[in-house]
Amino acid sequence: MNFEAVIGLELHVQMKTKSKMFSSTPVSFGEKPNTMVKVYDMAFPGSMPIVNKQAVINAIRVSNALHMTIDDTLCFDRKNYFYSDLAKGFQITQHERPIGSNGYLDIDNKRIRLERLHIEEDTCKQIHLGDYSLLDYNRSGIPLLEIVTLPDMRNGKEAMKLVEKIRSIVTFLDVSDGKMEEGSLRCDVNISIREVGSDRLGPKVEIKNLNSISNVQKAIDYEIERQKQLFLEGKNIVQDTRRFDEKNKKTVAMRFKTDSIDYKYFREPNIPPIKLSKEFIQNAIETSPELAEAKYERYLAMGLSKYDASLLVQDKDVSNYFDEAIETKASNKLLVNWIFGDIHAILNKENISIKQFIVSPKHLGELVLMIENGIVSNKQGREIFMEMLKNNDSPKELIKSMGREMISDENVIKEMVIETINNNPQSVIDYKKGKDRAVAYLVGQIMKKSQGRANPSLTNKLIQEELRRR
Amino acid sequence: MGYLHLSITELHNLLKEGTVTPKQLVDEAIAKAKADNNNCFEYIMEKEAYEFVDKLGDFDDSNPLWGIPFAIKDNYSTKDVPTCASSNILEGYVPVFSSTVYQRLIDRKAIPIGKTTLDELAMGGTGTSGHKGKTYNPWDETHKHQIGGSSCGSASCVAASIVPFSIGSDTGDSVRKPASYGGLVGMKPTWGRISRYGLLPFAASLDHVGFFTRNVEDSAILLDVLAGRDGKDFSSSFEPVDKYEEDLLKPRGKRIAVIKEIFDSITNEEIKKTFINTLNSLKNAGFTVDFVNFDVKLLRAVYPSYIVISCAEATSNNANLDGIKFGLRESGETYQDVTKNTRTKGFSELIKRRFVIGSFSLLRENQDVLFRRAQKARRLIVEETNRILKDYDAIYCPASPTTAPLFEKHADKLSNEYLIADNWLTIANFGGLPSITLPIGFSDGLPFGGNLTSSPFKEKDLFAIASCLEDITGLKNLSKKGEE
Repeated sequence: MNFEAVIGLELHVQMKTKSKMFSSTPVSFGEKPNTMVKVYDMAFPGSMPIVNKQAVINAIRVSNALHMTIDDTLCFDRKNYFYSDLAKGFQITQHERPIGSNGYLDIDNKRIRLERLHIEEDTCKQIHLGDYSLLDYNRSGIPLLEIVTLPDMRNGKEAMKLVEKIRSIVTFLDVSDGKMEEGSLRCDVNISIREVGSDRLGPKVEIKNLNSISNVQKAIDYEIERQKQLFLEGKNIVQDTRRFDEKNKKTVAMRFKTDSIDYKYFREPNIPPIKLSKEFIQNAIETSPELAEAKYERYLAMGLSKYDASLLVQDKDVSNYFDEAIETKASNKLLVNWIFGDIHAILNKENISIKQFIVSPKHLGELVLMIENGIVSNKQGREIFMEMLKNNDSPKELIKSMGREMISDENVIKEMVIETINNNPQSVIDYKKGKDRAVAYLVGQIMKKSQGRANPSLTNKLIQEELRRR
Repeated sequence: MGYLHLSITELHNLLKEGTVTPKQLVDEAIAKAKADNNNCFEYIMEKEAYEFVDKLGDFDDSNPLWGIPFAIKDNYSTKDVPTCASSNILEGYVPVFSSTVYQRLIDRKAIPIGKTTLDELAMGGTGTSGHKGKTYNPWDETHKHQIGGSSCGSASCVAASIVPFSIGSDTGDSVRKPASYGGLVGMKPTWGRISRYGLLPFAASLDHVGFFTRNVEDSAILLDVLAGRDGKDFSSSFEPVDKYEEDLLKPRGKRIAVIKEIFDSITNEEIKKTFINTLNSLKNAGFTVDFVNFDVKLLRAVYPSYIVISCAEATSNNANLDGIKFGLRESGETYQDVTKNTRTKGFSELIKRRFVIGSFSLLRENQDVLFRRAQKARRLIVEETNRILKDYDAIYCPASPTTAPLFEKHADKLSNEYLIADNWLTIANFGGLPSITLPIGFSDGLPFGGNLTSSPFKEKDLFAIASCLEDITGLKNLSKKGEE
């Protein structure tokens, strides 16, 4: 029997706006528990929601990147339920009129339809310890985007690629950190199987708490196999909610899914519907940061290889670093080599991101430019780079203070050449016999003498001229 | 003899002349509040009031509220001052922030005397359901009659001359009905005209800030101070604020509509007669007064629609009271138990019944026949009202079909008198319309009021018409203990 899986995703994107979705509380991660909290975030009686404009702009930008229809009236609803992480006893969300709807993304020439995108607010963080729990309201009220797909995916890889693409969009648009490991991007999977050709679906199983993109794929592929086996063994597939056990690479049942909760939605009365003008929507879209795809095209147009271009757009911060560095007019290709060579090695070694890297893109560009223009040799460039790693000093200044500026003055080098040849008569004889090694030997001597500062190609040229004359 | 039976303007002039000092006014207000036997107060702000007096600074003639004592309903958040909305669920709750209304008043150097009682969480119209029990009507020393609710304490303390004005809140008629029973001017402006930030929500789409004064001019003075956009309340309006007091006596619209079906449903002949007399006087004063029709089916739908919508919103608005973050907390094995035990103990049966009604009407299978249907009725009622207000400057009818009812009185809740005349004020909440009640007569020693309601943001016109009506009846500055 042939089976196929029917997979839909629900993603939650935590936005990194300056303040929370409905209050002026600053959003800042990694702070002490319950220090990023104002009265609204803890639902003190009489506190009221104020809509965060930047979050709306973000939602418009992401909706646009997902090819969605954007609603020109912004409406919010209450989703009512009691839970210990929900301060107000309801969550403000967009139930009836999501800001974005009917979009799609193409994954390897396959179109995945996206049902909706809506704005909502995060709950507080719970830490369960033994027989008690602690609540941290720092997270309460942080803006979220929820993106819901239609069940158009058929395997773990497609789902993984979709998540990857959405992650790229929200990070390149500066909407979110998009880190599944840290919960700023969360993915729930709905999955059921059916016989190929049949439209009768098996029970829908939900997988929650996936904490990396690769686990999305692994969990789905495991779950498909599990459901197939159950089916083939004639056993029931139970409609339940599962989590992915990373250690054993298995999905594990968390709870049975009973009839879904009735959230008793109704319109949020404290936020009258807001008309979004055409200009506002247009402006949000036009001022959007550049998406990975657009950057990729731009890199190809500036002559980078497909390989280099795709490497660069894998990480928004890396491509931004590159974009800043090329403003110095340094060679694209050389910059790419530096970024994915020396710099990449350092980042890996120190386990930091390029945003934390000490050398500014401008200084890297200046250094590369000096090497290109022969002001310093490659070797010297590397030495200067090592110095730059200390304080991000400007390479121009470093050259001066290190006395490392290249000697390109013909008269100075000529003097050294004559002196060196005079001291090495054997090399003239070797040269006349046609031994090229003689030149290299003399260059080495001059480099030693000049502490590597003599311009190598100029030195080479002058040695040959002098030898020919003898 | 004291001063607090006087109006805001009268007190302002005495303060200006130096006849009386703010401290003397506070002395009198605190003494009266302590001696109060009408159950007006949840909390008397004695210490705070004297601290405010100390910080008053110099007399400011341009500020009519300088040094004037007031009281505020206990469902307004007041920083460092206990706020429990007359419910056990908020026992021990001391807010860390102030409502915009309270903040504006103290910024204008008015002096808070106390937090007043209400029907629990502002849900109720009788002034009987707060955790401290019944609040009485100062006009009846035998304590047999209601003052009405939910702003019962705020109404009683102004009627009893403890303070010259007080702040209430009005979700169905919670300021304008008690004003009628207490011989007071009760005003609620357009929804969005005054910030609701820090007002404990009952039903946000219907909730209004309102206030009690003893004359129309004082009411206009308060709106001058309280009206205006507030960045903390997203629903507050950007509409420019008028100069309400300054323009009080300028001639305004003169077309008044009386809804025939409301008038007809009243059985008290004395109220009807008095009301007709005011109509004749208004005509003599140059007003056009017409009886107009309003679909009875819609009028009878006001109360049931109100119950469904307000209870639905209330169940959600009060879901934050879960015993986890503030207020009462009962212990339990799980968080579910904590919440269940806290809410079981903290709310009265009446409140729980409202939550059940609200929750029931929001259930997926009931939304269409209850909640959405009530919203549809609300929309139709507002459309019908706006149709009338297109041709008239105000709707004018008796504010209630009776004087203050007896505590043990149970109205026939299916009669037109109850469904229509006793509940029509809620139309102004449905439409967010400005609406003012003022006294128009007495029956057996108890006052009763008339109500004027106009189009959104026409407060200026409304005050002007109310002021004319006040001149006609001569009923202003009424208060029980202030009478010589």
